Amino acid sequence: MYEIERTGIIRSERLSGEYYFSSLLAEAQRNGLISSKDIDKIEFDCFMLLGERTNRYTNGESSSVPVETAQGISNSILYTLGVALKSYPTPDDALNALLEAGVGPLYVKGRRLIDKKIQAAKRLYASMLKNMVVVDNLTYKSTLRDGIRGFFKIYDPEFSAQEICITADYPTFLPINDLAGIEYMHRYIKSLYYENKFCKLFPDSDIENLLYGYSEEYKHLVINIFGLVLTNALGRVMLGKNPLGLSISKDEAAHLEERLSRLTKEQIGEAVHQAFAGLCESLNIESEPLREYLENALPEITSIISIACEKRILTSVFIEFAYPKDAAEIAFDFGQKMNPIEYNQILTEINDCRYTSDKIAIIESSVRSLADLEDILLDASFTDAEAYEVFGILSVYEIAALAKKYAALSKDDAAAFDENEEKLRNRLNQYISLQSDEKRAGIERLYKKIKV
Amino acid sequence: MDFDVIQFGYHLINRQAADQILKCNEFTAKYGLTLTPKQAMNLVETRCRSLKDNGRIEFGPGIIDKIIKEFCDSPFINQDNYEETLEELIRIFYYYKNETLDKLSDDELIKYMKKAFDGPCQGSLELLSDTELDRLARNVRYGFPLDYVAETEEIEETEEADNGDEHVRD
Repeated sequence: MYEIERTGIIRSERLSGEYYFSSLLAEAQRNGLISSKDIDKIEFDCFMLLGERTNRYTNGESSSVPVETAQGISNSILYTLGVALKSYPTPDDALNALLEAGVGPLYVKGRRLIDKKIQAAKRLYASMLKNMVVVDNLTYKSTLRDGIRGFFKIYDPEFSAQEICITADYPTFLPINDLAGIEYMHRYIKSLYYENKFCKLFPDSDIENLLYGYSEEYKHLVINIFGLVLTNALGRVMLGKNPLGLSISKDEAAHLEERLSRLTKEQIGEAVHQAFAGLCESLNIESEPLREYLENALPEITSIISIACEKRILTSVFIEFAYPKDAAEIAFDFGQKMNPIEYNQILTEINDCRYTSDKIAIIESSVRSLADLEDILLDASFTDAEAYEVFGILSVYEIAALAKKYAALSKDDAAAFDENEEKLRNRLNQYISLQSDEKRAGIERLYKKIKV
Repeated sequence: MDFDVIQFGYHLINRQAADQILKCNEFTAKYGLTLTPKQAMNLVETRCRSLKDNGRIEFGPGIIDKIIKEFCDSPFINQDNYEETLEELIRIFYYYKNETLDKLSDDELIKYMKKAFDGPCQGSLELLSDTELDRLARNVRYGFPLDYVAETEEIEETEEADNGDEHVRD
């Protein structure tokens, strides 16, 4: 059954999110819903409230304040009233509440709502911090760790509720407009929460390599990490690959450019939406709010892709991993293992498959961490050729990590390994030796620096 | 629609305060000081102008009645210079409210002004503004005690006084 949405004379889309109170009065006046006498009374009440708030501000010790101070307190009052008015179902209801209850009680309601929003934002911030991506980008780290914490320390809902107080330098993928004060900060943290939650589906080290592939200067750049990750993940799905691999080679990007350049912007949009469905399925994204957040980002990604196709620069949109040459040591996390029941089911399915392509398809769709894949490589009854095919879906980084763990490029005796592990070690060694000179050199370089 | 509480406030200020000032006549009459309604309105206008000139806004009854009640027993104020002195004191007050960075309460500043006016300034509004309150503002800005006098300033003042004495003797 459909829910009937109540509307009124005042159109909510004509109201400002940042200056809700003033825009509501302006619209009410434009629609003849409020008399000039009503407005005079509201102005008078606001002025009296300003006097009272200013008196509180000066602790009753000064009857006058600089105009800028009074303007700041006045803006804080109007913002607080706006927060209270937004809590009504429709703008018409909000106007009625203003006319009936008056400025004073609405201000008290607004203050209470602001306090609740502060608490909600603090809780969300704590959750967001737990999901932070471990990458070496200064703006990302300083804004999320120190900047936002600083906001909660200096935010003053009493006298400057409309202020943001800090420079939220790290940009969210979709800019947040038309909000101020705690409403802005709550939305900002919420956006970062979803962006981090999505990025956490990928190994931190892969994201770091993606950023390095984007620019060697990524540590000092003010860039949105989520946008790069989502774009590449969608690109991988368009290529028919597991999005978890994340990297898109220059050849693959060129192939996508060739394919997408033939499409109109609407068709590219459809392709992006299709890829998004595949991405959600592949990464098992079931959280509705997260899906909604990702879906809201798709038009922007469509726009970026279609412009890049027009200019024939899609190879700079889809990024290939690069590896810091100067890094002394690269930490690698194999990720979390799935529960044993699920694992055994997948293992049985793989062993039951006749064709290698089916085995690969199961791995690509069901295995989400290198830790699980490692177990499958040890436990499944793969032939050498099949094992090489499985290695083929891994990034150089993952191959290097596995090789490192099993000392596949070391000449030392492998007495510490059991039979299956020894088999995997030999296969890895053989696989690496069969790669092109360039790829082998890359794996060997990583092998020396990687720490598993 | 431009919803501006501050501008609205300026209009409201104009309508306030004259009555409040006239009420002070009951208190000041014993010192031989009274204001006519026209003089009270002049003071309100001075207050409004001073607030605007100094970029300030005032709520409630304001400080004119406080200044009147504090200064009415000064030996340097009489009926002839009463209105003129009050106008200047109002201007000085708002100017130094800014200069002292709002760190002094209204009462503290008014009491300091009165003490200096009756004391070292000997009823001179010029000395009050340019010397005593200027020093007060500097002390507030630099974080010194309110009555701090720099050594060089003391020497200069002593020299000036000595020169003045010699000049009188000559």
